[in-house]
Amino acid sequence: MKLSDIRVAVVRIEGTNMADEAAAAAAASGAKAELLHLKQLEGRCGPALRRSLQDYSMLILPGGFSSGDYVRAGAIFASRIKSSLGRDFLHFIDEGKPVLGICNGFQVLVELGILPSGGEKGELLPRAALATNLSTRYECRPAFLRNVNRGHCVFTRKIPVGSILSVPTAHGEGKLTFPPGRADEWIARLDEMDEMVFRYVDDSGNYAGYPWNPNGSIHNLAGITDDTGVVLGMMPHPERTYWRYLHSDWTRADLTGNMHGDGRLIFDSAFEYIISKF
Amino acid sequence: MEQVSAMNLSSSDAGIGNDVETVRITHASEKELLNVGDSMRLGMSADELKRVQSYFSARGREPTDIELHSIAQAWSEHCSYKTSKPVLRRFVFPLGKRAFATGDAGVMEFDETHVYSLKMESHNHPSAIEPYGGAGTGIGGIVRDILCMGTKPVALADPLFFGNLDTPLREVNPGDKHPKYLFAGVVAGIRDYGNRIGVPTVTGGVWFDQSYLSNCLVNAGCVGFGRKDRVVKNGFTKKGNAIVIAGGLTGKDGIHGVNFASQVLTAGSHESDRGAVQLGDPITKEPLINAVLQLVEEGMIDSMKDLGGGGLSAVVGEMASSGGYSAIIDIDSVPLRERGMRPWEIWVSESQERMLLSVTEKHLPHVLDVFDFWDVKASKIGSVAAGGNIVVKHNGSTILDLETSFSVKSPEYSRPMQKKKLERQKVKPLDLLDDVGEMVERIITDTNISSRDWVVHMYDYEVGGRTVIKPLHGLPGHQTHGDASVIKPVEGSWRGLAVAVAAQPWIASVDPYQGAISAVDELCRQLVSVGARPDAFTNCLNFANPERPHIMWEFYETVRGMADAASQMKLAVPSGNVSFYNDGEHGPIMPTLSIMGTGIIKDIRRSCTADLKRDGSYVYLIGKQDNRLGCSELSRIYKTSDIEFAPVDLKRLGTLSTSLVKAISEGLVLSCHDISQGGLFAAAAEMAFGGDTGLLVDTTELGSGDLRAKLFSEGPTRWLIEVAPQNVKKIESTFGQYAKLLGTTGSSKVTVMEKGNIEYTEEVEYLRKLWETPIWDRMGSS
Repeated sequence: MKLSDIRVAVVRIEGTNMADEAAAAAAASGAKAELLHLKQLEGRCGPALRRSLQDYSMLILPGGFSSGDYVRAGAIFASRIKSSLGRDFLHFIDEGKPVLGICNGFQVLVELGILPSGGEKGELLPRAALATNLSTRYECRPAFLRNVNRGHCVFTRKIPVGSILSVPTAHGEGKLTFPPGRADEWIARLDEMDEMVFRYVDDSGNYAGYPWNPNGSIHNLAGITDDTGVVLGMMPHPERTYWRYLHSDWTRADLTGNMHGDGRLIFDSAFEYIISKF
Repeated sequence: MEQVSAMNLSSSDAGIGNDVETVRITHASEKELLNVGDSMRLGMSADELKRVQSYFSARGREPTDIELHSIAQAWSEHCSYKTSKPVLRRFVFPLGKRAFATGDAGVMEFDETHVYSLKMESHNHPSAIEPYGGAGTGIGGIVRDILCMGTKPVALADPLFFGNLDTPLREVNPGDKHPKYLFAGVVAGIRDYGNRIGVPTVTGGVWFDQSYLSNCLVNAGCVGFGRKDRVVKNGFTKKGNAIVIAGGLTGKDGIHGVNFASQVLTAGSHESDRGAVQLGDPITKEPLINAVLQLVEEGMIDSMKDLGGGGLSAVVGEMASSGGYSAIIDIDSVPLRERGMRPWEIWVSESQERMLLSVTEKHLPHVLDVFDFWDVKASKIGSVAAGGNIVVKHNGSTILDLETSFSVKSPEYSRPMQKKKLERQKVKPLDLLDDVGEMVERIITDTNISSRDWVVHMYDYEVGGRTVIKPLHGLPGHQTHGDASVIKPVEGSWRGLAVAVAAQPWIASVDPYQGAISAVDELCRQLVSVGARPDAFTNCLNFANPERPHIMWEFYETVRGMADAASQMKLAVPSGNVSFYNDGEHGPIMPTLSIMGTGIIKDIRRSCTADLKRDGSYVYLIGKQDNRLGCSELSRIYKTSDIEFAPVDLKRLGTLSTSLVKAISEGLVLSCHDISQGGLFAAAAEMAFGGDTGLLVDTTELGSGDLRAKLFSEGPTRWLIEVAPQNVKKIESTFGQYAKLLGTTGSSKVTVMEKGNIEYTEEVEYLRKLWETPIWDRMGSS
């Protein structure tokens, strides 16, 4: 498949307010990005507006406050997906098509039970939670992420293992949390199956506490993948450092030549994978 | 429904059902008129009621309750600007000439094909009573003002004013809320509304002073962006058009909000007026924005206006009046949230998240389809007709029929003015105060100077992916206060829009004319700092009760000063807002002009931030040092009673601004920070924090005064800039006597020297911790 033939569905409901920039990022990388309301995939709209998930090669669940997130973040969006798209959604992943959940999208993937997988497949039931930040605060701030994925995840193909990206966060519920007593087991399993992707580090590349780990997430986890490696859920926003001039310290260097920011690599990795696979 | 028994009301004789009442006023005495006004909570003066009386007498009939409420809403200070308009018309309206369009928000040209819009509005009284809801709906309202010009809301900015956070509880009057509670609630309200609708809060400001103890100020500003050929009018434009209401349902919340905004807050307000505060719903708003912007893009909307103060009554009246048409409304078609609402309540309800659109009848089905797609309720509630009347029907009968030339045009007032007398007190000499080291620590830990990061991180300042200069910029983990934020609104274009806010209430309370000029000076300094040419500003004019002559004088002088500064600086003022009656049990607020301004940057790749960039560069003061300490942070902390401040030289502001913008655009400036509260020292320290590097400042050449005056005076039109060695000559030749070499960057310390002696030196990291913690210490992680 050619890059320009890749159709990316950026799916939203009411309150999903970061769809535009996610679509713009995908488009800037050369793919065809389309903003879709979930009801277009469900068929709850006029015939001209209806769309089918199978016509797309990649799906992005963007950031925002879907349906207000007045209950657990992502819960309502997830339950709507579950009740309408459920099996189609799982089929999409089984076909090896990438799914990127950013922030609220990650929360949706966790509520759907797609992440984390750790080998536990099947029923669309949550196995972890993205709990309220340890600070109890919603916060928007820069963050550094280390790519710890050894090659399983398709979203890090262009990112050397161990390298550090600057990708900011903006959320109130991002603390990855496992059932009490099972955290160590989960961490070991994610490590063994290469399902950890990004971990928060400080400005020197060390694992550190707040604010470098903005939410108190276990094992400093910022992003994880599933057993297929085609799903990536991450709290930080790669679309927010897609360009160099969106980094919070870009004025400290000359802004000439390459305008690409760190976040772009995550999109480009997925597209490279799609081009090679389909 | 209130009992209006004193006036022999009848509810059946007009044959209009039992939920509309005829109010007999044509033969009433003045006392009886006032009784009617009170019992219906019309908030009208005797003269205004008499004017209404003669209108109906001349027509040989009695008004209905909905007619009286409708007039009362339109004539409220909040809707009519009846006190401020004569002053604004004289000084400010001419400053809107350069605007591309005016209306609910001012619209300015951005480039050949694009425009930006700007507007700021106060939401003071609702926030004082219910901070979370009041601040949230403040954001909701300002976003609608931007939207109804056909522009997409792209940035929010919020100047906030509270009493001191350390106020002992016993000093808070009964009914008032503690500043900590108000501050936490207001910030949470802005956070939860702004973040949920996906509009970044890119800048703002927080001021603390006891004059705001019982009447906090919450000013909400918004910037929009759009295309020239898609700007929408606010008034009706075509006979026969359908009038459509879209968005939230209409309920009983926010009834009489405008009357409540046009009165002084009292201890009782906190309970009795809670119903006047509206309820916000960002998750109705977000799809409403999407739907409206889609229809704007498709060219489906002929005109539009948002429902804010005064509800349908105000909006239908203003759209008809400004367009020169009649409107015929079927009140029974308005989608309601609750049963049992009387027609007058539906007519004046200020329920949130509603827009009124005028669309061509043939486009109506498509328009309703688009709203349906976004799950937004929309209904046709009437149509535009020739003429100049508002007609409201209920169960097929006419229950309101008013000429807009009467009902929308309120009387105006030229209220008496009297210059405020200031008692000059003996100034406490510097010799009695702390030495430099202690003074540094007291000043940078004062909550008016210390880091705002407690607030800033709670706002999503970069949703939308356009914020290229953020409110906190610099090394991650070491970011410092910026002067202005910059957005890059157009894909494929490097042109940027800078946004900043400013206010100088302390100078204004000594001299409101100079206070206004100083605020414009501060605004220009901030925009220039990032490399932007100041282009326009909008404002909230926050004052106490204008029926008192010295408050009216403060207002007049402020407007005059603002206008003089704007015209000298060639700044457009295409929109604005006035909020009177900001008095509480604790007394009047300081005269508070808060402004939100915009500047244009030709190429954002050249924009400049405040964080020091490297070791071994030179630090210059741009401007003219003036060591007067009046109205400074130092004078307040040490209660020196000093009110001798340095006035602004607008000519110099103009020249230096132009030169500095040019120098920045040529890449001659590595970092730049304006000198404001906390003076030269605070500015230098903030630059050091952002770059995590030290600097040396030699004050020998800054006049003959006391070192502390040199470091902490807040004279206007000054910047600190960092310059690479190879550009020193160019900077000196550009600025001549207005560039003073102060020192160099490097080391891990902030050091002050005078006449060869080190007068002060301290680790950057130590100072940073002091500066960073004061608000966190007081507010915790709430």
